[in-house]
Amino acid sequence: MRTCFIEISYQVRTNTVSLKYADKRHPCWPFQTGCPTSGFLNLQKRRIVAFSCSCQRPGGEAEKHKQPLRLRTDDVFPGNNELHAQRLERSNANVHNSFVSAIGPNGGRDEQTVAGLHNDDVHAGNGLPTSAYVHLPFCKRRCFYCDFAIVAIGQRNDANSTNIDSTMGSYVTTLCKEITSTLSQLPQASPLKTLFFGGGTPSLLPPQYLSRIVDTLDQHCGFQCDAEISMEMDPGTFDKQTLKQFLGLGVNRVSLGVQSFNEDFLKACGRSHGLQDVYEALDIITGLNVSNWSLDLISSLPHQTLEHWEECLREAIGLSPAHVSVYDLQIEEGTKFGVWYKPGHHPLPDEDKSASFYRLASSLLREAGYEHYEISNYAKPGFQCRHNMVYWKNQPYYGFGLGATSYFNGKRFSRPRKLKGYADFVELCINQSSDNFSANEEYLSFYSNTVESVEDRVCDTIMLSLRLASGLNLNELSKNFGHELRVHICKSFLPFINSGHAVAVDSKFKTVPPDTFSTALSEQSASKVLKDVIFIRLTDPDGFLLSNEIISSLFTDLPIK
Amino acid sequence: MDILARIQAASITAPCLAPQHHHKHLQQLCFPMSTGHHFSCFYMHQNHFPVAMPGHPCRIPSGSIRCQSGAVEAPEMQDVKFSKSMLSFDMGKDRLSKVPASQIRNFSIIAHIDHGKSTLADKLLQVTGTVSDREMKEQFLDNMDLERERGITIKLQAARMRYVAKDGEPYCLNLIDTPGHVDFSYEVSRSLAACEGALLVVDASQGVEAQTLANVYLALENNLEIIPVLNKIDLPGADPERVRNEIEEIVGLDCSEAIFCSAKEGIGIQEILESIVAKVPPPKDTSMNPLRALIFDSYYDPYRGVIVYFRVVDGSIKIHDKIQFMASGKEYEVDELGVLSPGQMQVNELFAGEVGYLAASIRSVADARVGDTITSSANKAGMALSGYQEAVPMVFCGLFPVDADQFGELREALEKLQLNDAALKYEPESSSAMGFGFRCGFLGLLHMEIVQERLEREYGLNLITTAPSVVYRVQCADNTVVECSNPCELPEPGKRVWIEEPFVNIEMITPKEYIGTLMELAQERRGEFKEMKYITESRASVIYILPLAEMVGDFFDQLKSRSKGYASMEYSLSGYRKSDLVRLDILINGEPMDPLAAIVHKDKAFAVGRALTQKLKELIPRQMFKIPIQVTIGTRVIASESISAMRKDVLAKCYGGDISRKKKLLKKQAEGKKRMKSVGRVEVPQDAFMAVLRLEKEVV
Repeated sequence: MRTCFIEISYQVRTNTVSLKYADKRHPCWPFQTGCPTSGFLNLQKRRIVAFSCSCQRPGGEAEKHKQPLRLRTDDVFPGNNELHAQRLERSNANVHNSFVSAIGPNGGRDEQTVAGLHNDDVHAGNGLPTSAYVHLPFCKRRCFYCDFAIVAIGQRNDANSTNIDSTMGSYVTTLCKEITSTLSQLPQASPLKTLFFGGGTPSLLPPQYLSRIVDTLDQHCGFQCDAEISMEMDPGTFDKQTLKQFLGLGVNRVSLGVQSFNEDFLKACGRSHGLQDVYEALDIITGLNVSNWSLDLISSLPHQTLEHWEECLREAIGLSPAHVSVYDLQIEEGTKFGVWYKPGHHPLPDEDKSASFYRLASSLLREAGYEHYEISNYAKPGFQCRHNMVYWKNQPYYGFGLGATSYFNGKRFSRPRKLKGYADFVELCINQSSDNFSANEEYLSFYSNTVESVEDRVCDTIMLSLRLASGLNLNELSKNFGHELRVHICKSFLPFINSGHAVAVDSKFKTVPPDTFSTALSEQSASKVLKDVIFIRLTDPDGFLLSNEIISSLFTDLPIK
Repeated sequence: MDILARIQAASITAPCLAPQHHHKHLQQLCFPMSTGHHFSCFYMHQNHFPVAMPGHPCRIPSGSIRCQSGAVEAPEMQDVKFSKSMLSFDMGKDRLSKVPASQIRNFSIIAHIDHGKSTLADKLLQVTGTVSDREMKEQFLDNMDLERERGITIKLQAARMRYVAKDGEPYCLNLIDTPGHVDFSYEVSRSLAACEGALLVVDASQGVEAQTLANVYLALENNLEIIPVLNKIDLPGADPERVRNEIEEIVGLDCSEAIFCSAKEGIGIQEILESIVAKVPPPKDTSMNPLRALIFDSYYDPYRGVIVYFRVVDGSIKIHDKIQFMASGKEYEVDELGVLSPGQMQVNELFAGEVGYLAASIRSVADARVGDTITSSANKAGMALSGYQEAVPMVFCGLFPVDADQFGELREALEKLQLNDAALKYEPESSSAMGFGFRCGFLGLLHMEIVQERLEREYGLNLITTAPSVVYRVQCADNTVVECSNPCELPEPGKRVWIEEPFVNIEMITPKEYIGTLMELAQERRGEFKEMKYITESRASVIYILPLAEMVGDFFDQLKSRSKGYASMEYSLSGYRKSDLVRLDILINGEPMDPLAAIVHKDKAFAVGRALTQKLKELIPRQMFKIPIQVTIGTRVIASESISAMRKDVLAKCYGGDISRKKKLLKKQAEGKKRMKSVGRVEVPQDAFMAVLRLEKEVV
């Protein structure tokens, strides 16, 4: 018996439920039916349901397949921890590392990778996003290093509670208008595979507001059965009840903004919480059995020493999160840090020191069983952030809310970063769509400035994929941009491969020795060996540490003007 | 002849320069300063001068030229304001009228920079009605943007004015403007040669400056009647009496009749005009002789070819005449003939003593260079006018486009500039670090700066310039002498016996409190003290012999800054001398950086080497590997530094999928890399080149 996923999307407007297999390669595909799951839908008010199918037939016999589907009732919705346990199980079994999951032992044809983290092309057919980023900009205060589009609302108290609620309420209203206006424009929005509530501090949003957002999305595009719904949460901004409600709304991944396990550093960063809040937040998360949670840390803080950093990392590892993000502090213009500090100068660590922080994080976390799957992200097997993978894999995604960026129809667009500007923008979206309903193109052209050029797409592919441990997939590169570019890029990589900052990998996941690689490039018969090189990836930590230098060199070398 | 000798010569000859001697043909002295300096550039096809004829600003049909002499009253000073509009028109329209040679006065104005030459010229044009108030643009004669910005005159222009003197006779006054900078002293000498007199303008508060002297000597050599004018007497600091004495003492001119004026306020203008009429001798009427006309300027007009400014010395020239340029041998037919007033106004014929312009579809200014003699093809003159010299570049530098794609554009721009600037020399040069560019020769530093600026400003090029260098003469072991202006081409140490470098005589005139610091400056620059004397109680002239190479850097800037702007200088080439010179090579990661190579004196090599390595270490960003930086003489390393390998360059966070932002940063970084020049595997930013070149200008 094989487990596969079927997705059900419920269209409230038409009052219909459509059901299809999430895996086109499944012998039952295509399979449409009436509404076998309506009972669940009514019961749970959530439309994210997992099934299993007892089909045992090999491919090619789709017509003969008549066996009914058997629902596994305990898989009802993704807030359920059992589901995660299962997913974890599958991941452990099938996804050993990024290479396997990306192309599979049979060249990407393996049905076992159905639930694999990289097999995201189910809806690639219509090119519409299956991921959405929703920006919830409210924060208690602005951290000293932060230059995001945020709205500081202060500590909630009796006096300002009403004001805060009305500010948040009207923001959520605008946000939902944007979602509606965007999605109702599309011929048929695909159900979401990942949803990410980022901020700001999304956990500051009262659950009833979050519910409006989820409902709106649900109504217009729905969710796939195993959708990942992440939420950024800050310590000191939520209690057990709130998190429970969030989970009830479908949130199944929590990203906790800890940043440091040192009271002084928290204070020095202008964080709104102390160390005590961190531990309380962790208690709440573990108390509710949320297994898929992530922890954010910042390195290279002012006055930070290697000892401090090691302490912080060990503390994090001790808490055993499923996922850890380690961000190297960037000093941005217009922030307090930008005014106070100069990168590389005291009290900030110099380049060498902050490089050693990075190396330490990489070695300690990997030692502890975390996979360094992206430049600043570490995960236990199966717990990579699927939403962020969408970014790195250069796949389309919606962006909703203040300052959010979106990428679909080949266009990238950043929304206004001020509340007023954003509200005006949404107003304009709505007017444009109602004035001329059929002028989809026009609307979209307003929506995003330009379709990405070939050069931009090449650059995106390079810079995004090299952030991943799996690296740049050369087969995809030549498929999308031609064989010449493949050879060209291999040549550009040569010095970095020779210096040990990058590695070429063949179809058997074996490292191609630099000598072989360089000989192959210099020979006329380059194509054969190069054909065998499927991936080029940056080494960890040497290549990752110099990724900007390497990526910008590759950009410089690009043959496109 | 050194400066001292010149001063003595000047004081001796000055008393003899009474008007009666003026027509005596004295053989022109070959003045050391003017050796080969010619600079004839800057087209002025955008003449902004509106003239009487509407819709056809520069061309007046010959039929409209009046031949009677109008009896226009000379305006009294107090009436100037009132009568301007009326008189301007009346006088202006008559300025093409012919007058007998005896009523022509050709003069120029000589002055130190900022002493008010251009303001005075403007005032003369205004008062004589040559230019109406409406047309008046400040500093009319300097109409190139660059000149306006710097407040200096580089290019020559001329203006024909009509003035009815107190004696009731109408006079034709030709003002021939001269460039004010020593780089163009050949040009100055040619325009002076086209005159019979000169106004010597001296700032009544600042007194005699180095350029004043240099120009006076040039004027004296050309046998000009000099009329001293003390300008800016309206300023609070003016002390005309003191300055008058200064001129008498230093220059040796009789200043009893010096005119006190303020060009800005219009004081003394009338006296100046009268004095020109009275003192400047008229040209000889040699209209019957074969044509000889002296070219004192030329510029390239893209529509009409080269426009030649000339003074008819003998004979006459008519439109459609076949003419020949005696130095270049080229023959042309006159398409257009006219006078400058100051806009171009066409006439049919010009006679001996007159100043005018012609166009003859001449392709390049090289065919009609300043100093050349125009004669008639039909009736050739026996001998050319004396004083013609070929342009010899003194200062060289490499010009490289920042963006290698601009090489073609740079070549085109240089070709175009050369059409207009016969002194500009260039040849292609390439180097591993800088790519393709040109090695260019200039008359001097100002010339170099101007050309660079014009290339960047008018042609939109982004250039890197190497440190300026001079022409070295290398005595080789095989008994040949190699001239070398590019440090990279210096023969190997084993192959050379000695190196000679050009030296200049430099005269600095300074208030006495800065004597010490200026002597220090000259000593630092390997100067050899020649002489010092007080020209007044408070000011002194200090004379040094200095390697030209030491002067082409920032010497002038240093002189100005160390003297708080009070000192002035003038220099002339004194010849070649042996020097103990070595070539410094800069190696980055073992690769020589040709454009940064420099020829320096042995005693300075270590200090320069250290400074260069330190600067490069500061400016070359860390790369993925360790980079040694070395300065060598031959194979011997005299200074070294190293840049450690880059440790970290990574953008950690991706803000909510904001890829554009990250991409922008990476693209910017990539853009930066494109602007870097690769030296072997090392990427060197443009800034580093610039800084090292600047440093070389300072310390080498």
